[in-house]
Amino acid sequence: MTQNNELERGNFFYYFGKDNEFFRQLEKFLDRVDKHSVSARMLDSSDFYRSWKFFDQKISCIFFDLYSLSQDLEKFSKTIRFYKNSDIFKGTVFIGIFNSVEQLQDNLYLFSHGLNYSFIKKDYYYDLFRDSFLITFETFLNFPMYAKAKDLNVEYHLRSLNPIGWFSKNKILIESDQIGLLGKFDTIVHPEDEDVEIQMIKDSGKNTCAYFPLTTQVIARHQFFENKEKNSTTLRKRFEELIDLDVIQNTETNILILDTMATFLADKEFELKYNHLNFHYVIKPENINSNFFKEANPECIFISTNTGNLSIKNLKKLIDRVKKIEEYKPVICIFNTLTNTEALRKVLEYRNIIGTKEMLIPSLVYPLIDSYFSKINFKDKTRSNKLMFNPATNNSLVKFKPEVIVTSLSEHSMTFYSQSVFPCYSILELDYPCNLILIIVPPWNELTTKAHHRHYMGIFHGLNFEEKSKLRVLGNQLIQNPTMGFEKIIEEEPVVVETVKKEGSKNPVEKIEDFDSKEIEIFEVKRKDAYDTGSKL
Amino acid sequence: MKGNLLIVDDEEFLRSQLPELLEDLADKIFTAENGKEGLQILAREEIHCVVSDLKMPVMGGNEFIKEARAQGFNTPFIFFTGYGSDETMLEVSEYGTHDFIAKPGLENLFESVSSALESGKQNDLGQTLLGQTDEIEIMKKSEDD
Repeated sequence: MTQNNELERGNFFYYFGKDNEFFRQLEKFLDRVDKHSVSARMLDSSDFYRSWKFFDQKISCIFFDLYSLSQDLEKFSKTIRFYKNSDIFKGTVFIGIFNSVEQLQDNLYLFSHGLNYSFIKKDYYYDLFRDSFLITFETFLNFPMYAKAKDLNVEYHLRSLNPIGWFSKNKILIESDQIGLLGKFDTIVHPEDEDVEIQMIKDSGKNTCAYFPLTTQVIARHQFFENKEKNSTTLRKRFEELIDLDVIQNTETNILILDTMATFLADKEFELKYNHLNFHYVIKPENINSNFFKEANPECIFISTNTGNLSIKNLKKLIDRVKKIEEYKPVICIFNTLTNTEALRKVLEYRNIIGTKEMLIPSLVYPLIDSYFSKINFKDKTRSNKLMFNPATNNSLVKFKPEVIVTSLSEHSMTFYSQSVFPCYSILELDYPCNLILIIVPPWNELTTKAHHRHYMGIFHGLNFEEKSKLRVLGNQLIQNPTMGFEKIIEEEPVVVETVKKEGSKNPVEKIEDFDSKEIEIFEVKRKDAYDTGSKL
Repeated sequence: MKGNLLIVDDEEFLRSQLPELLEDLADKIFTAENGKEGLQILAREEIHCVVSDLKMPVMGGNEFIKEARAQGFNTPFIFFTGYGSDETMLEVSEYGTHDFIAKPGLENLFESVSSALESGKQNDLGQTLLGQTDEIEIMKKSEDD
């Protein structure tokens, strides 16, 4: 890890959970590999919001133990969306610990909200710690080594997870990690319909007003409704039932809460009420750079001032940036100020502003948001034509099917060529030999090059023992028959294939006790920009 | 009760004319030549609104409000100012300003003093935010469809 990386990511691993043994093992692991002075902290609470106040340091990685906390996943999804849109969690790795593969598969949308890695609760955690260390610090531990099928040339397609921002009768806004979709015809997979044809017609280039922390937005023509009408009215009815009726009128509003005292989160009534809003939560005003307003484009800005942290002078500098942007006139509410509205308007030379001495708390902010919506919907009829799915369901996702050429595979990792462009740490899915989730990571060994392709490395996560075994079997089959495709192997699903040990490889033993007794080689992998495609963290 | 007003300005003309202009709005009107005198009156009398110049000899408006707040006075302050924003306006805003009135026109002086006196009589200066949102302009977003 470089000095810069240390500064960016911080040196704290947080564990939200009640499993003391897990935490003991995490501490033990960090002690063992700790050349970066990483320490762990445990928060025995599912109250993710109010725990915010503990985050006084830059956090490297957070483990959310949904298993031990019996966490309501809808609340959890709101939490990670909110966290991912806050300045103090930029670069933080979010890891979810789930009860079962089924629970994870039912909640895949969490990856589009900002979850980076998943783990199915087991009695040993070594592979979780090793992988989280890799993602967080780009530092690879070469233990254990896995039998790996190399020099493969297996054509296959992966699936990318893309949330639907909104859709209207014939258009759909898709947010995506896959870059460069404009102009393409493609098919998407939705839980309600396989292979719906779409045509990309408008690409924002980057995610300027997104609900989700993905990379780009693309508007596409789609045939959802046409398909439904052709098929049956029952299907269409079912489809329409999926739409979250609470939010259909209100799409595309960005909120910035600049809260130097974090009073909003400390308020006992705080709960993220609005599914359909994109909140940016900023605690440190200095994190609002000169491009922030142009990129994030917040329409309502709620600011808590207090002399020192955010003086009127600094507020003026912020508002001067707002004023410089053409056709941009957000509503700004200043809380915790002794200066009256009229005086603020004059001194800041901005009319669209109101001020109050009151603290910035949810019970004051939410009615203002409601009021804003009632006005905006009255004024902008186009909004009510845009529908959206409840983001806390897999129905809010569509999947593209990027074609890839698999070049190596083990039970832990896979490398593949693709003509598609993905930022590092993008999440992709495989559906063979079972449903598998893959995160693109910086490669820890040199990857070959191929014209018009990029060569990616990914690691599997969210596996239980059974799936891991299937992957191991597949890896072993490919070692024996590297020219076979996945489909071929399906036909020839073998009896039992024992693990083939490559020369120099070891059994994939994962107990942390074994880890204690080994000499582990710890080395930095290539930087996250290894693919020259940016990073999702 | 209408409330008591303190006018602080180094221009004698304003100290003599403003009380006549504003006499219907307040019960009692006090005048002072600078911030230092103003502080003495604040300490001695029950004042519900201060109308003060920013630039004055001995003690200017910025020092005046800073000292007043330090002594625990939450009285609403209205400052006279030239057109446009300057550093002094930003400084006094840090301590809580009710309004700025541009000299020499003194536009909206009556409305501003009236609302400041009302605020000054209340313990809580908090405003009903929702009431104010009526004045907020909402931009129409460009249509994607």
